[in-house]
Amino acid sequence: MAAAQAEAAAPSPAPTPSGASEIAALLAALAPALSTIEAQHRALRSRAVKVLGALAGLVAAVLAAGLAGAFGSAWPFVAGIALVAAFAGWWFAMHERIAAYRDGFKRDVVGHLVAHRYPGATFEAQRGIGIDAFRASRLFRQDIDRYQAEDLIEGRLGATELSISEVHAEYKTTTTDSKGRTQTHWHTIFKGVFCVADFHKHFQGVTLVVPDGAEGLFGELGKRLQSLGRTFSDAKLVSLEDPEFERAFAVYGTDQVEARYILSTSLMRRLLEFRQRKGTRVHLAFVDERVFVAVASSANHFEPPSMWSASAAIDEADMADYMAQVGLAEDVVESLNLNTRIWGKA
Amino acid sequence: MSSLYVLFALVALAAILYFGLYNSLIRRRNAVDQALSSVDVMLKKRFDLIPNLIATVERYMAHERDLLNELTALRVKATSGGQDLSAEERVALDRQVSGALGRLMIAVENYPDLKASQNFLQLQGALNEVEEQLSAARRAYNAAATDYHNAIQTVPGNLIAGSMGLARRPLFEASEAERGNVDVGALFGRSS
Repeated sequence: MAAAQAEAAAPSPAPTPSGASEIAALLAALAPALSTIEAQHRALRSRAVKVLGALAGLVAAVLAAGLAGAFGSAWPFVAGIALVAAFAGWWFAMHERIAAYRDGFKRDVVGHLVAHRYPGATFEAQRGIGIDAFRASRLFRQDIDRYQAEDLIEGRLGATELSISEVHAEYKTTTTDSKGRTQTHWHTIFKGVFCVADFHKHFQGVTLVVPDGAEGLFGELGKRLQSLGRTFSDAKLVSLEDPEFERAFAVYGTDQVEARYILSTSLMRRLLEFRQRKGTRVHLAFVDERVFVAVASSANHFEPPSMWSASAAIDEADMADYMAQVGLAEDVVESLNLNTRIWGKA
Repeated sequence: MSSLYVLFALVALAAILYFGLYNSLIRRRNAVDQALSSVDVMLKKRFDLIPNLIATVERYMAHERDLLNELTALRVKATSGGQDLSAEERVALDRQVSGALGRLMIAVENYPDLKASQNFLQLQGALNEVEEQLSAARRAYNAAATDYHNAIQTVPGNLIAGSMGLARRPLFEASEAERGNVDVGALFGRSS
């Protein structure tokens, strides 16, 4: 089709990486905030070392006294209490300060980066994509027992309304052994970055794009087929003409034509490139005129330098990293070509 | 006696296999017909835009009479033919209309007033939308037809497809004009 050829002339979907001069300018603009963070980090670290030393000394003293026979036969009990007390002491002495350090970093540094990259957008470290929106994507069928979301960026990128945050959804299993002890295990359903954006075409049905079993084993695909088949019986497999896309993704849709209307040949290419660039599992759902994008990641984004690291100094490479994390929202919009509004949806 | 049972069982098994195969081939053929009907819906939508398009552009495009007449004639042919047209004829007609619309959109480049007119921009948006949906419907049809072709041309389907009168269906393919013409898409501003 001519449209496919026009694609060659279309702008590259790759996001604009932050140039060296932009990074330098950001470092300069953030210098006061960064030096505050560094001072906070130094104070936090030396306090942590002191508190840890004092608590370790306490526990060691109790243990030594116990071993010397000071508490008689009750010494393991006393040692246990000392250990619990040490943990409680750590929590009282450190918890609030660690939270303040992290919140300060997110507010002053990440907040600035978001405002710089997306004028008019908001960043809220404590909030995230709600569990209802996560469920509405219909991507992960497992019942959720624990759901955490943070670092929400919300705003309008060009013509596209978008929310993006980190999400960690888990379910639990409980096992009881022969002695009647129950154990709870937590399993991750999804951990990574989850994004909800307004899609640029009208549609009514549901179209799901999930990683194909080619990434893992046949069993994975079979499992997915089953789980979708059970709870999502009206979504049928849609086989598309791009063999490379078919190897990477499996597509399910309630409407065969609509699935192809959404997944134009060029969008399939763009999604493949996006996935290759991310190098991780990518799920997409097209539901209620919106697109849901789930990019799996084990990393925790937007976090300040670790309390234990020698220094909290942020160099160019660190700043480029943070900007890349902030840039994911733009990458989604560019990769899915969401700002191209020529199909009768403003 | 027992060999009679075996024979009976074999015949019954063959019959079951035959019916199963027969049904699956018919189901695939029906899927192709259904997909073609959704292409028809989109084609009709596109034909419905043509009178509006011509009314908008003819005031500006005095020198493109032939092209506009051709489009009108194609539309008349399609709407009067209706369901009587065979799949081959419909595919051919679709190709002709796509070609003529493509040429029209190139010709528009020579008429800056027309390009800037609000009416035309709206129509162009509607046309983009229909083209995109039409493209999706064609691809869905091609997928269904390929599935059907695979079924009637490979073992065991090919053994009975001939006696059932199942034949290949035409596929929607880009015409030579479309393949060679990069500008059409660029003029539409389509990047998807």
